[in-house]
Amino acid sequence: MKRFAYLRPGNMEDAIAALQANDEPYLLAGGTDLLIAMKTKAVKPECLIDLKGIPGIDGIEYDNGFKIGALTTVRDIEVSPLIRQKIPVLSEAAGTLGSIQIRNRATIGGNLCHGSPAADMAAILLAMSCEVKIASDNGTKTMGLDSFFIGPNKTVLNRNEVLSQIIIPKEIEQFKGVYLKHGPRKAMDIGIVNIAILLDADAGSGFCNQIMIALGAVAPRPIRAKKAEALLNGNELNPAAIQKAAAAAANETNPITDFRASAGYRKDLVKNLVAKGIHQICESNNT
Amino acid sequence: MGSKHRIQITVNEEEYDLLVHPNRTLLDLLRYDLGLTGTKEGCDEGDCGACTVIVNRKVVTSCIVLAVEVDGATITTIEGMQKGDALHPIQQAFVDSGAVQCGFCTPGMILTTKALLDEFPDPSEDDIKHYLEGNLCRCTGYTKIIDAVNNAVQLLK
Amino acid sequence: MDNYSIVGKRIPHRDAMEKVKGSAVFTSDIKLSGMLHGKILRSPVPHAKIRNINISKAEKLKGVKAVFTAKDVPLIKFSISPTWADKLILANKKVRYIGDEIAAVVAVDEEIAEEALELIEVDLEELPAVFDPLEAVQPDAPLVHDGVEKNISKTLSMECGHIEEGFAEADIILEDTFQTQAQSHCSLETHCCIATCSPTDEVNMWVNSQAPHPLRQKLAAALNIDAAKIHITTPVIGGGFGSKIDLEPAQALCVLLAKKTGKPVKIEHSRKEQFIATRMRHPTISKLKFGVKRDGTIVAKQAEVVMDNGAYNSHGPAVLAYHNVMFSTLYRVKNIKYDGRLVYTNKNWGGACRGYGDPQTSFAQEVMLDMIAEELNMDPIDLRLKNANIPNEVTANAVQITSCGLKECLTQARDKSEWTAKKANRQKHRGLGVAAMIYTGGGSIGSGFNYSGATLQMNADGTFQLLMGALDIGQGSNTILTQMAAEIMGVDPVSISLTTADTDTTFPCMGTFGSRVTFCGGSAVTEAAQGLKKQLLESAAELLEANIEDLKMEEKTVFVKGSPDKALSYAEIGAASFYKKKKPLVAHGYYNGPDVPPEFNPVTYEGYPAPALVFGTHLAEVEVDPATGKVEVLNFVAAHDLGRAINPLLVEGQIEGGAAQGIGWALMENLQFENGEVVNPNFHDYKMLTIKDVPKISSLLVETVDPNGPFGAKGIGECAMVPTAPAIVNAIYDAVGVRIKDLPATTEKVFQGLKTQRSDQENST
Repeated sequence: MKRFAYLRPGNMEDAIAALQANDEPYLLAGGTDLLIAMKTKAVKPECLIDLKGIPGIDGIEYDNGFKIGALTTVRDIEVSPLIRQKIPVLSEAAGTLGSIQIRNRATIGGNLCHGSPAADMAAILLAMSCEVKIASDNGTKTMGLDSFFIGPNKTVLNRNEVLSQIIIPKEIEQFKGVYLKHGPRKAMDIGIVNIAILLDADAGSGFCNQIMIALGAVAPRPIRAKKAEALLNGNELNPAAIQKAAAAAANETNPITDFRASAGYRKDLVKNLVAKGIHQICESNNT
Repeated sequence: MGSKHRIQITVNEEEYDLLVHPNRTLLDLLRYDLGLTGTKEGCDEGDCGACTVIVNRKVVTSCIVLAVEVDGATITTIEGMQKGDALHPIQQAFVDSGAVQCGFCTPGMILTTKALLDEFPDPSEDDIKHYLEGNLCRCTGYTKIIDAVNNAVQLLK
Repeated sequence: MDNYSIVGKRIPHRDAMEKVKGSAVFTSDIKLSGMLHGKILRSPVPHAKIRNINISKAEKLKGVKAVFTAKDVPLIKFSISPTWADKLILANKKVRYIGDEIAAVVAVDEEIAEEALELIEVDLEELPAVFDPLEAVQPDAPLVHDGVEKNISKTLSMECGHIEEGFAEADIILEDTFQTQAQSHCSLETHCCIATCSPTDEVNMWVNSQAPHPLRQKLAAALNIDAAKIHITTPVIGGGFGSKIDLEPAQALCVLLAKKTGKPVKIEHSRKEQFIATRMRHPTISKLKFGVKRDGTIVAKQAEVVMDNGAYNSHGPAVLAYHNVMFSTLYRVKNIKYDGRLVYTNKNWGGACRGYGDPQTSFAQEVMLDMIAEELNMDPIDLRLKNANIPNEVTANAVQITSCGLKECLTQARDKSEWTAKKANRQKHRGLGVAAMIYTGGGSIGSGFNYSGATLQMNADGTFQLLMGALDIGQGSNTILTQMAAEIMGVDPVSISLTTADTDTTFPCMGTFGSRVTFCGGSAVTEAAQGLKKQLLESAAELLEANIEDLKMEEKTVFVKGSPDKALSYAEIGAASFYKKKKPLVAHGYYNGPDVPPEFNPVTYEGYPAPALVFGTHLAEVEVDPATGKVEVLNFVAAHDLGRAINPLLVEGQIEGGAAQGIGWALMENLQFENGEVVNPNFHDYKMLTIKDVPKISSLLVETVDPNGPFGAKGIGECAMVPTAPAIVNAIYDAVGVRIKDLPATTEKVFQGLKTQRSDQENST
């Protein structure tokens, strides 16, 4: 690794000021993506601003819904008893990221800000219709996570902005969810396709009150399959309808072919896994 | 650019007051500055687990942690496992179960097992696999590593 | 069964204690005072002429001690054999793959050395490159090595019996093509070397080599210095799997840079270097044709093989020969034809890799056998039993088999896996697959060398000192070799002090590869121990004034049978040998066998004098997810004829590890190239299996007690991954009817197979 300056501000104002004052600055959270990028010389920061010295941005709060500090580790999310109780699918998705060593360092905010289309936290949080809180020298603002991602490794954040919190709407707690990640291995994998589904359906009738489907690794950024959702919202969840929605979800993707998988396979996986995921939730509804 | 920073850390119950460059990883600090070479470098990208150490009771891959980030931390490396003459029961279980071949993954495996058993004293096989998923081993095929963890549970009871 | 007290016991690894403490010293852990750090500049392009190299900026960087290019090193080509030598320490005039060594820097620390690499200006004139071995043999293909026509490094043609007559006898003829991919060894410890060198070329080297004695010879030849001046020591070694046999340019550079600077120099590969610029498993394309009778008798088999050598030879020619000998020796087939070509391409080069060509040939042959069984509507195990080798036969390619437990492996694996019951009670998307194997169980004398030496000495206090040329790279030879010595001397193996693979003090050994250490090192150590036992008894007979035949050894004492008070302790005998008789008790053992008969063909390996042959069967049960193509290995049985298990605990470890490596190769391990560049040179994109991916492996140890093996033992190390991939691929076919003919059987390939199957079904209805 090349040499760089290291700053550890004690509050958000100082962090934002440092971000503006230094050349080629990078924010350091868990470092599990950033340090590797530095080692492979994909990025060459002149200055690292470590956010771990800022108090109050690394915890899980519950106040009419979850408010998760951006510096909360993925492991803390995985093992939080309250998250396991109220939105277990978030804990399950967290448990698929990297290894325990990585999850002990990686943060929810870092995973989002890295902007990888395959980020595990991105797909599941996108399906939860989360909002994110962004601090800047002009105060804080809140925006939908869907507007946060721009393209591969690119988010809306400007040079004077820091992601500080993820807000999960309380309504999500009545939904059931699945997170399906497809990769060659059962652990330590970057998903070839990641599927997050949250569904609020009537147990008996199978009527879909609302469904949210997010897809990872199949477009330049994590996306919501809104056409597929529209086909099911307010309708009965029968096999034909599910099949049609799954096909629609596949049509909403724009995957690449690379050494990990072909675009066509990725589309097929979206179709099959969206259908599989919805069926899985329906089955658990009926048992 | 990148002047040295002062850090104070406790490693294996020994206190250190050090000056480090920000680009020094915790792994290099342990191996080359403190001479604790039991911690191994297998990939330098956090993918193999050979450099696993315990920082404030949590396992991390020390190759992707900066030394400046652990100021104030309490760290356990493989050299800190054994207290007194006898091996730690986890170390003994790894020996007895045939879980050690080339031995390069072994320090990381043992430290991850330590963190596992501190958190789950009676783990299921799924718990073991979930906890050890980030420690790669090329020699054993893992069967005897799982045996070792189960044997360690018995020895610790 | 013979009644041994130490051989056959489950004794933990001798070195495990130091390894669990973190105190075992690996090469990279060594720090010498004043030590400098070297780094290598590698070619960024697959094929180019070097027009010019400007090192002036790099040399001026503070902390840099020397920068070397081709003009600073001997331009002597090397390989594993002088006949195949084609590689220089640093590229002169031309680079042939992405990773080829261009220059080396030595500096006070790694950071500065790395910075200096970026300051070296290399002017390259890119040449057209060739990556596909089938394109490389076309007349207009670019030449990787000038003068090597059609890029063919070696051609191998062999016919035994009469192939056309064989096919004429057949009721059914099947033909197909099978492909295998590059696999990286992935020992967790990367290559590392530390050297010092005096102005008069006295070299000290600490290196993680699997073959330190041959390394000394190769180093001596490449650097043009006397072998006796080179002292190689092997610290604890973090795995090899074949990757650490060759002379590495880094090792030669270490010596040259140490001489230039007068300081110790260390060069350690990064993981990326390990992936892009150390050896890998040779990819192969095998076109097979089999002729079979209705009763399952294979009457003729033919293979046309193209092996992708990469940019340089390394072990390539020998790997091709092994590919043939293993293809041709397995099963009792009278008519065999084999045509192989080893082809240069502008990619990283192949080398020795667990199985030495055998996993590649096993994949092709064993999937073909599955296809034949289906065609004949015959149980795949029955088909193999029908054609299985038997003890003491001479095969069509003139290979003498001694012990052979292939049939036992097949039947025991069948019983253990509940094959018959599960086949009768099929579950959806689940299937069983089987594959058999053959391999050498004691290295190879193909090159004329298969040596291993041992010296056992009794100390003045009656303890023992064993010096072995063979070395432990994690597989456990230190444990089993001392077990053998201890069994013969009647002592606790832990009490025998052991020195291994130190070129100044131990007898030479070819090294740890070829599943040879148990057999060859074991033969040496048993010879030494038997010799020392004889000396011990002779000495005791003289001191006790008794006949040797009347003496008995027990509890470190020699006594006259029937008169237990007429006894001498080992300590008394040891002391007498040193101080009274002035003739210390020391015995040597040295193996280099078997003898090479004049009929042996060193190109085709027809008439191959195998030290011992080992056999085995892998049997896999898998489940396939039709939604994704993902294959889960549910159960895995590995039965191996290993002569005798000197230490079942350690043998199981070899089998479990080998099978895991084989499952990885079967399903996902693949060193992938795009335009000559490795696109996955790291552990997140190169998929080595995690603890979650490996099923429990059930090992079955079939003990056939080989007449030539020490205590009847044969090797196991490499054998354990040979038939894994075909067993898995055959199980996938059994589960869902998708036949994978090119490895790895990725989820995508299985999925596409299912998709094609569905559309075929729709079209036919």
